[in-house]
Amino acid sequence: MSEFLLEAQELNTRYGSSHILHGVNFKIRYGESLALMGRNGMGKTTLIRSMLGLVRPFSGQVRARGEDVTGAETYRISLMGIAYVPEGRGIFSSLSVKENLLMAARPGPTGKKDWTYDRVLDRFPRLAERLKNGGNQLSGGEQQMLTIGRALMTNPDLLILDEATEGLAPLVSREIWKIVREIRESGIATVVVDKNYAALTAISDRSVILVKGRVVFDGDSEALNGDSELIAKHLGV
Amino acid sequence: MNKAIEIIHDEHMALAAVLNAMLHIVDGIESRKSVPDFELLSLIVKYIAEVPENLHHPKEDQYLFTFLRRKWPASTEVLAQLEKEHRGGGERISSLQSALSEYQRLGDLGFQKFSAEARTFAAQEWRHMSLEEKKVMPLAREYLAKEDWNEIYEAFTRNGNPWQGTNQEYDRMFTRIVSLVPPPLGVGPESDTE
Repeated sequence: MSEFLLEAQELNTRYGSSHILHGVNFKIRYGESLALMGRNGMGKTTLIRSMLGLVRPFSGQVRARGEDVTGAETYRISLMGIAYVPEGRGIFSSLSVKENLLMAARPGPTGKKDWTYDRVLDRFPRLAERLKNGGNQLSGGEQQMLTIGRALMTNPDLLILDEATEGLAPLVSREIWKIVREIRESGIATVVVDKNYAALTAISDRSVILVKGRVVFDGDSEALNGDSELIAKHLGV
Repeated sequence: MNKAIEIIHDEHMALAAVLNAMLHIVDGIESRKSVPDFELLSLIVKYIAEVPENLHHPKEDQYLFTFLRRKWPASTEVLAQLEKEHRGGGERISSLQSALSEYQRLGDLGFQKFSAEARTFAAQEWRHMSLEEKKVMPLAREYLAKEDWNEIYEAFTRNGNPWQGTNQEYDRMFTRIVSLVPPPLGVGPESDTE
């Protein structure tokens, strides 16, 4: 078995004539928590989408559980225990909260069923009160909870959250961070993208910074936290 | 940012978010856009009464301030002021709790007093946290050594996860508050004046 749950090797991705990712190397181990950072437009979402089969890289390789999945269909990668909470949530607005959750339910690739419908509702009590409501009737915070809950229903080994707290009020953002921390502590590997770098480094073991489609930092989150010069240079904070 | 400071800062952020929610609710009632939800208001007051007292201030008083005073004696004055404010917290929260009880008992007649108490309490807390964040934390970063921080962090985490309370009761309380506070601040039901 590969040491890495998901890895990208020398990944190059283009959108039309724009070269977005330049030979990116990226990897995440089982149970590891990783912060993916960078200013807007630096390639974070493209990297995620390239690894998940949503965008086809023009060169390089993506491996999931050691298997080459470069350019594979997204559903196939998802069945390998990799769940994605995209920027903008991506819930099914015409389906109810209950339907959104139940349609995702399945055991993980190794057969584990840690996250059941009841457990998800127990963790997200607000969703339990909104089961019959349509996805389009939910607030931004509720939608994010539903998207995370739906991802957990697939019993993943890796959860990728893009812009985890984008557009959410501080109270709800904090609840989301708390949930991410719990997910991490339950042994699920996490890759989280967010603009709150302090919160990100606090909940991650390792951080990767992308600048113009290239990895400029890949190391310990605590070390990054102590390097205010590097943070200012690459993240502008 | 080191992990001990992260914990203090995170607890400040949590408290600030809950205080902000309280003021948002008070504003809503004052402008007649919402009716009081006493379950939520009681929960918020309980949170801001218990979390600082039981989880947060002991970390500062017993560890952070003690280490800082030892390493930089000139900090004594500001630390004494902050400790005095910690000691006065019980009285201030008690006034807020009484005003809430009275509001619940008297209805609209009790609102003005509760509103004033809530605003005063929040303003005092913000001033207090701001002093800690802007004056004490930078000093602590400057004067405390890595070994000090390690010792402080070890003390902070000795009794379980500091985010959750001994039995995760504060964690659950926070989740419940988020579930009840109306949007856009929380994910609770829309305010309804009907």
